[in-house]
Amino acid sequence: MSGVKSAPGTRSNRPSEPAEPADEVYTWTGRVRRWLLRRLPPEKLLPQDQPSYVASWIYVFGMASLAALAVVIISGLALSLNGPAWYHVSSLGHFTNGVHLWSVELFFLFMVVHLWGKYWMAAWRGGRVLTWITGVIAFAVSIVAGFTGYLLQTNFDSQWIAFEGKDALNAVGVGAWFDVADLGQMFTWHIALLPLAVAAIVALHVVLVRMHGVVPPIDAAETDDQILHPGNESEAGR
Amino acid sequence: MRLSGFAETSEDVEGTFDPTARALHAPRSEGAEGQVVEIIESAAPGIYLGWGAFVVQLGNLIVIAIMLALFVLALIVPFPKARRRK
Repeated sequence: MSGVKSAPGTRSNRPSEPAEPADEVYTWTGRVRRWLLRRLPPEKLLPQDQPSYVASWIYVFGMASLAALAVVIISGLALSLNGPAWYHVSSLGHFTNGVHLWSVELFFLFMVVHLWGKYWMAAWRGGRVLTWITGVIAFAVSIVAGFTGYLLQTNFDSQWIAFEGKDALNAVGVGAWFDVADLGQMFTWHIALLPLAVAAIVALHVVLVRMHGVVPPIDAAETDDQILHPGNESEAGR
Repeated sequence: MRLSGFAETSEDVEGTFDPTARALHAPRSEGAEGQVVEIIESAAPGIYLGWGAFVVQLGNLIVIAIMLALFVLALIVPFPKARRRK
C-alpha cells in the first residue's frame, strides 16, 4: 500500500481553520460550504499519507470490498443494458454473467473478513460509531441486493428461492412492494433501487472513514506519535 | 401460484430465453434429453455435511474456510514495505 510514509512535518489530522472569516459567509450555500470544509477538509478527503499501522493486510479488505463492488456494478451495467436475450444465450453474455456472480461472491467474502477485522479491533472507538453502523447497513442492504440477484437467474434455483422466501416476506407485510414472484418488480429492485442504496451507503461509509480517519489498532495508545501525526513515526519501527 | 416470467408449460416456452425451460420442454430428441440430464445434474442440491444438528453445504463450508484462512493470514503475514519516495 502506498502513501504510508509522509513528507516531513505533515500533520494531516490537525483541526482545520474556517476557509474564510465568518462575516463573509451570509448565504446558506456559503454556510454549507464552510460546514463541509470544517468537517471534511480536502486534506482529509484525499489524504497524502496514512498512519503506519495501515500497512497491514488486515487493513486491505475494505478497499478490496470496494474494488469487488466496482466490478459488480460494471458487469451489472453490461448485463442490464444488453438484457436477458444476450446474457442467457451468447457466450460473452454467459461470461459477463459469471463475472457478475463471482465478483459478488468476492464482495461478500472481502466484506466478511473486513467485518471480522473491524469487530476485533473495536472499530467503533474514537467517535466512529456512525462508520460502524453504516458498514452494518451496507452489509444488510447488500444481502437483499444479492437475494434479488439470485431471483433473476430464471431457473429452478430462482423459482425455489422465490417460493421459499415469499411466505416470510408476506408474513412481515412487505409482499405488495417486494413481491418475489413478480420478476419485473424484482428487476427494478435489483438493477435500480438496491444498487443506488448500496452505492449511497457505501459512499457515506467511505466519507465517514475519511472524516474520522482509519481506526488504530486496539493496543495503540491515543498518545502514540503516529496517531497524532501520521507519517512522523520513527524510522526504527518501520 | 405461478411465477411471472417463468416458463412452466411447453406453450410458455415460446418466446422465452430461459435455457432451462427450453431444454425441459423441447421435443424429445437425443440431444435435448442429454441437455435435460445435464441441467438436472447441475441443479442438484450438492453435498451436505452434518455433525448432529449442524448441517452445512460443502460449497459454503469451503467459502467459510477460505474467509477464516484469509483472516488469519492477514494478521500474521508481514505487509511489504513501501518503496521510499524521493
